[in-house]
Amino acid sequence: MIVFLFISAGLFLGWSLGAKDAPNIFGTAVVTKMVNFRIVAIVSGIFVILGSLLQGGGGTETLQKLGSVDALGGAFTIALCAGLTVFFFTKYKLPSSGSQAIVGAIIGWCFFSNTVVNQATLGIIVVSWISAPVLAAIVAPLLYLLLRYFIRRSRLHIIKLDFYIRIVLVVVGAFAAYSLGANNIPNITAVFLSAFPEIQLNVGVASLNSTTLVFLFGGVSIAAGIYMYGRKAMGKVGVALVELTPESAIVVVFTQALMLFLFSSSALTHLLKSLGLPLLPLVPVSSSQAMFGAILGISLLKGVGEVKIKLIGNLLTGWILTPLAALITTFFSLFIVQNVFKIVVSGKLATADAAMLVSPIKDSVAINIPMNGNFTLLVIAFSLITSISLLVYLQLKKHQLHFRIQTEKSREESHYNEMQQALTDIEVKTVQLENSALSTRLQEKRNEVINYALNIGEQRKFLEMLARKIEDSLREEESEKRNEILKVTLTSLHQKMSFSHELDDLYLKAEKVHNDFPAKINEKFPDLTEQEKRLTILLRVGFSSKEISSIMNISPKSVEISRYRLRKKLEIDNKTNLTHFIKNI
Amino acid sequence: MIFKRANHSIELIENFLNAVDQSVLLFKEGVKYYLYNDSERFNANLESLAKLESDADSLRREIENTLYSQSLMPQLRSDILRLLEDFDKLIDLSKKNLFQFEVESPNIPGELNQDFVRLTQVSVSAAESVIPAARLYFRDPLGVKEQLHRVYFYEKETDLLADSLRRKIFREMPNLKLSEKFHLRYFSLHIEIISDQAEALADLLSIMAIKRTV
Repeated sequence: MIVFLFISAGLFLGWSLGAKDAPNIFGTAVVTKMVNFRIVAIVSGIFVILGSLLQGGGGTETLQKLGSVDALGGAFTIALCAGLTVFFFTKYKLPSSGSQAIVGAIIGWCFFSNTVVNQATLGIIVVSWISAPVLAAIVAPLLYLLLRYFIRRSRLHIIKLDFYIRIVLVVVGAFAAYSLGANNIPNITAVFLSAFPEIQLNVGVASLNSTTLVFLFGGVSIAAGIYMYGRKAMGKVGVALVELTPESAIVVVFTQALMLFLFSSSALTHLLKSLGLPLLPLVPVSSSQAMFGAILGISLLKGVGEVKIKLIGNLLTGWILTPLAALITTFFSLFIVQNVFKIVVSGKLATADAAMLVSPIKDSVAINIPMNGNFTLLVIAFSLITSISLLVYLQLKKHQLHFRIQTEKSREESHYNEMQQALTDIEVKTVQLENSALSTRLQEKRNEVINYALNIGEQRKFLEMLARKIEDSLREEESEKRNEILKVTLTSLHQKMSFSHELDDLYLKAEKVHNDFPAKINEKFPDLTEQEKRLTILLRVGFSSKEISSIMNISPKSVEISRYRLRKKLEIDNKTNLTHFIKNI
Repeated sequence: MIFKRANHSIELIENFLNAVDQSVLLFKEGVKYYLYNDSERFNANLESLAKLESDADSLRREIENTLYSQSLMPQLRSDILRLLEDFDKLIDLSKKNLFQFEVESPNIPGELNQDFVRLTQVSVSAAESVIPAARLYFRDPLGVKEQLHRVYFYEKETDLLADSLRRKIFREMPNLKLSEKFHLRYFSLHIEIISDQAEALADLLSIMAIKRTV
């Protein structure tokens, strides 16, 4: 029972870790409301536990090598102090890291218990802390360029892209949760593993030993932290990520997950070893700092002006302040725990002072991490190369900016010319339009003049013919023949009065003005006679009955009868106005 | 299944932008018909524009409902809806201004026809150029800026043409009454406002495109 009481501090540390790192996994997805928090909590919970069980071993060994805590009381104090440091840092929005807090606390314990800190391991750990964000700053822009290239090439509609981004955010978040479990679980388990009593628990088909149980408890505590405090923490800490676009957020989350995965994968270490390449140490690194590295890398890519000094400040504060705070807190807490509560915090001290309670000490686990002496040199060289590359990149960026400005200028000039061309086209079109309107009007006027001329000529001929006939009749002596000539003359006069030509012209002109009206009439009312069709045209043009009677050379009464017949054929009721009806056809 | 909804939303937005495109086109043709006294076609354009405006309103409402009910693009949603509302204003302006021609029947002297046609064409060109930019925003936000150059250019040209037209009306046409000059000035403003609205849309689009690319 007392063992579980001691372990509660480890669970608290796990809880704090989960709460602090939840925004790094799904911050953007939840705060931007792209993914539901409940889904996020369940997915990340499952993957954190999976990661800690499947891949949590490597980093644990490194931390044990740093300082093998051999008493449960000491492990309790270390975990509690590291947990409190992370919790208060998170609460007061200060950048913190579980990995750095636990290392600081272990060093605090080493100072207190007069245990020598393994400097080679400490060197590897510190170099890894620096390498993780630096590597993230290099990888993230490359991934970002790749993602942007694919998005641009795909030319996906924003709505479809939104669907894909939701899916990818969940997948990447799950990977980040798995890596967090795999990489950060040693922070919780390392101090307890050597001080934890041997237990064998049979649960149905599976058999759990103490190591698996510790990893399981650790994983569950991180998952609980995500579920219980994650939403609140996302509101507070997720802001840095929210400012990013979902595309950048995917890259940032994926890069930090990749860093955590690389620094915790035994399989990768074996692979690199078999290929004869430099090895990556299995060290718990800070997910927040890997994330900051990734954001910094992307900011640099987008433009030097966008580099946020605050981010670099955050990174440095996290590196220095967190382990220091954890170290001091642990040192004084151990003093209180040992002297006030009389609890053994170190096996070494207990042997010397004949302690009340000494926990069983396990043999130190053999460290499998190859401690290559050249590794530190390699990393320093790597950091130098990175810095030089960064400087060269900035210089190139400056040149590129200058070149871009020049290109932009020439493009603007070509745009201007293009616009001028377009404007001239519009000008030409306007003139053409005006010309065509004028030429139509000119043609109409010309036709009218020709018609008048023809008409005058025809009228003249007719009048001449009339004069001849009258002269003939006057010359005729026989009254019968004279009457005959006069009758014929009168008939032709009547015929002329019917204005057949002029009427045809009139109808043609009316048809021209009212475009497709005759076609519509023919289509809708095929039974109308020619006379009735003419009547409809005259009514549409707007002539009164009196005017129609004189044009058609019939009496006004006949016009009224024709209108009546037309109404019947068009099936119009008494309330509807005939002219109005025809105008609306 | 998921993409069926997405495709429907995309189709709605495309239809809405088509309606905007058609409305400015109807406005342009409508003004020409008015200037060249083709009352039948002018009235037909007026009717089509009124129908288009009501269709576009219902389309916009449907898009709004879809985006909110399916919680699509929570970060960009408000911007996109504002953009669609501003496009809707463009349709409203086209309809309202063409109706002004019908209601007030301004007496436009024949010698100003060419100026009015040119002003309408350039002003509508600004609006026509902002539509492809909006389409690009949805698929390729980096290409938006390039497209917006045209809008700003046409808007500037519209301002110049409108000023020169008003100068001509007030300084070179002593035969017109002052009331007639005022009337013509209002109609030049009615046409000019189409390009102003296009410029406002271009400003909004350029900010939206930057937001998407940052």
